[in-house]
Amino acid sequence: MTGFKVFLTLVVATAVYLVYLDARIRAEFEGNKWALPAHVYARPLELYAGMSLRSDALEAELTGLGYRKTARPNRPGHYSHRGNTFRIHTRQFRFWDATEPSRQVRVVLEGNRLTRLDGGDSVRLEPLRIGGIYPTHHEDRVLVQLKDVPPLLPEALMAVEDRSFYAHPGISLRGIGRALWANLRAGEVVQGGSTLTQQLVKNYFLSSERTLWRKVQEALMAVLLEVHYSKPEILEAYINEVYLGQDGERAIHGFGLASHFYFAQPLDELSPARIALLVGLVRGASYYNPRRHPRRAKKRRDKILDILVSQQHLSPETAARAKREPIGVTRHPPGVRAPYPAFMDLVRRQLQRDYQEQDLTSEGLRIFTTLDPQVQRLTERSLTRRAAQLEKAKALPAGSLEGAAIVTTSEGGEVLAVVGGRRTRFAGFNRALDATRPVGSLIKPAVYLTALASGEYTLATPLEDTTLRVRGPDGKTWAPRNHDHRIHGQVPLYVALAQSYNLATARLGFSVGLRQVLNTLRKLGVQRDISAYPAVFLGAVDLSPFDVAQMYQTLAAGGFRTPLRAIREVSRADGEPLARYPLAVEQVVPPAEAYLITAALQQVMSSGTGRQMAQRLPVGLEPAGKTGTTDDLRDSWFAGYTGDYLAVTWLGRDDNQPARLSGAGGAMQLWGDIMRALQPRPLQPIAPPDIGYAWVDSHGRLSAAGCEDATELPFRRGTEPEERSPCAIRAQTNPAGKVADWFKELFR
Amino acid sequence: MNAACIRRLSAAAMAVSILLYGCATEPVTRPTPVKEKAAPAPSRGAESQSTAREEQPVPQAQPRTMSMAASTAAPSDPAVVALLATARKQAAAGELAAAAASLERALRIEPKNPWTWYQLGIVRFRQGRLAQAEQFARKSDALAGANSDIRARSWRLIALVRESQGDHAGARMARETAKGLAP
Repeated sequence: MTGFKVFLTLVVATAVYLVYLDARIRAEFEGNKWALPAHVYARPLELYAGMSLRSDALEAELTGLGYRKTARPNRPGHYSHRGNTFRIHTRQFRFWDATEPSRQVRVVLEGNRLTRLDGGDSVRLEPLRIGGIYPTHHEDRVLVQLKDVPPLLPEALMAVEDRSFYAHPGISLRGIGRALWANLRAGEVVQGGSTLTQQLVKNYFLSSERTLWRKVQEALMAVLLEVHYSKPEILEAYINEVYLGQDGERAIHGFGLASHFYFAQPLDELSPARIALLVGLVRGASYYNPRRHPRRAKKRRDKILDILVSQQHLSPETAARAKREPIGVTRHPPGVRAPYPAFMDLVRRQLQRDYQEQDLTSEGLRIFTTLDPQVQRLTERSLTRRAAQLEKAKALPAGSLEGAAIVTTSEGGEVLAVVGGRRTRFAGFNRALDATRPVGSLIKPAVYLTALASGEYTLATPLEDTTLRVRGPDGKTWAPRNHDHRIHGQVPLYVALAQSYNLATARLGFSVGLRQVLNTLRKLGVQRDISAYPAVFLGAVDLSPFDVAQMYQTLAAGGFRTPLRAIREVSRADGEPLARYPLAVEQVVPPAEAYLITAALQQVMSSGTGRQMAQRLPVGLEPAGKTGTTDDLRDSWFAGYTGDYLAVTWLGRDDNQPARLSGAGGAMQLWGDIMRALQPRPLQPIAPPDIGYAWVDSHGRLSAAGCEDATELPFRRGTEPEERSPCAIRAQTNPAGKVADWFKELFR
Repeated sequence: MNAACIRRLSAAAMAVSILLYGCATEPVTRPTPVKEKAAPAPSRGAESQSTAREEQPVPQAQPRTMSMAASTAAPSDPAVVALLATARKQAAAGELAAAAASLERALRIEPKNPWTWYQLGIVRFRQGRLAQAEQFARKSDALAGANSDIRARSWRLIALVRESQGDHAGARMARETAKGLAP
């Protein structure tokens, strides 16, 4: 009787165990199969005649996309470069709004411009993948579907690893037998007896122990797997799962990723030789590593080619040709597949407003962003170089000076680059989005804009830059001082802003009202809470570089608040459009005032605290900008825009110790580095119809062209200063002379 | 006759008429910037960055003359023209979101073109996004400069939007503004 009880217990125990194994393997299979991470793409490079484009930038884009340079690009994914002509065979790509077909285009670059484009009015290259959004327990994958995989790949896998794949129920006695025989003959292990299904199970539960018990478990799970899933499903999972290499800490799983990792090519562009090489890695990714052991890898590849011929998957001629190919791996593994963590951070935050974490990590969404990799890289380079240089110049401890930068398009509000710190490849503290620091003088345009909007001030209105002492409701006295510790007396409004005088600004702030200034900040797009103290007038407001960018964006777009966007569109995994993040604008500042404040910010750059930049930038660029310095030189800020770009830069120390940098000495230099590299268009805003120009002297009096000390400034018609300067009076009493001057000007 | 020649002649004509009327005010409008036409730089070998920069058609300080209507109604950059044509086709087929996407592509190439912004306003109107339609029309108005044709169209679009929103007084004001620009 006991014998029977023992038998029954064993049966029950086995059944329970099988149920447990079954649940485990299914959970693993479906967890991996159904979790499609989201792919995140940069902006597609759109080629059109007349665009500014450097030869090395185009080359970098093509290389980044995995295009191969050949003499004759007769297949998609190839290009040639001879002299100043590129011939590109583009790949087909399904964009949100249309599928861009594969095309052969000819591009001529002269100087830094694309002067000729044959093959279309404009051509969109497919966008560069810049990262993915994965569930936390997952690694990087390039998932492929069985139907998209080159047929030679599954054929090779079966021929080499598991000839009776379609016949066996998960384990194969024939396979084991064959392997034993082959190993005995070779005197070493040349074949494993595991089926592909068993190998898949092993990959799921990669464990170092190779005990018999483990093998039994794997065998059982393989059989259970076959019960639940079809051969194609298992094959597809295998292709996406098998371990094929190591990149430092990152494991390379799946043929899709391996293709990029070893050849910088998508799987469907691989030649038979390369497919054979990858299949060879299945047996030992480190042992047959083509970068470390190229001869071994080649031997194995050639052996696999032979097997393919013997199994009639390849003709002998094709195999012979393939064997003559060099192994073809790139010398170094491709760069990190998510090289722009600060920008990705912004993308995630903008996505989280509309999508659940689950959707993002399991639906295989395709996210098209605004990132411009060229702009991002030049911004990163500028930051790392400039921060290092300034750190040394100011004798700061090495590594203590940090920075952040954001670059956007001035009209569309698209975020082109986000740099969160000097260590650009690391997803550390994202200073661009999260480092809220007092902005200092960067706030001043809001005060001046409020004044101009009130109708009581013009750019020439005299302000008092004199000592100010204010007693607050708490009894404490606020006594601000100018940066140069001097009193400047009466100065025209535009000079007070250009020179960033604190006293004049504070007085102006009191005059227009704190509430009005805070209102202006809200209108400009500042969303953070701001404590309502007069110190706000001088920038005792903590904002991040991103907040500042949003604020100045409104000014750069002529008074139209344009919410900064990092994402353009989102599609489903199959390319079906899902959502668009359209351009949206709102006129929050009337055109006249927007024009006036920009003119004033141009004065900052031509005659004020930013005038040093004029030496480093092209003549006629006429950028608008504002320097920002905080107490004890802890923060160095700059925000400025040209005809097409806006950039905000910040330099400072994480420990909040003085960085010994003024806005002009630090952040502005960085801004200049970025702008020089961008080669921006001049800033030439359209004057609204109610704006006229007049010459004004440094006291704010009406002056005339040709007078010393005169600047031409815009005014709402009828608000020009009335008091004339002596030079203007002289000019008026000599009408012929005045008209002659006027004619001279016309024909200049 | 090139643009500079035209400018000079018209300036002279204006100067004469002003003298005749004895008016001493100077013509003051800051000239509308000539639309950025990509002038191909002559090809050279290794070109230093600064040389390339200086070759960009960057205007120096402009004489303060009345601007000629520098921007015509439609852009002439072929890429933009093609995208506008695509947008038109898409809009005609009812694919308004795709039309908007094409127009945004055109804006990336020529961000300050008032005609493109105006077209985007029309698409938004047809999508029923009335508030945005008005905002895009305001943007095209702001960028149109001396081009009263586009300005008038923009204000007519604004009038249409306001009418649809039930703001009859606002619509009337907008229509009158449009009439004042292009009677």
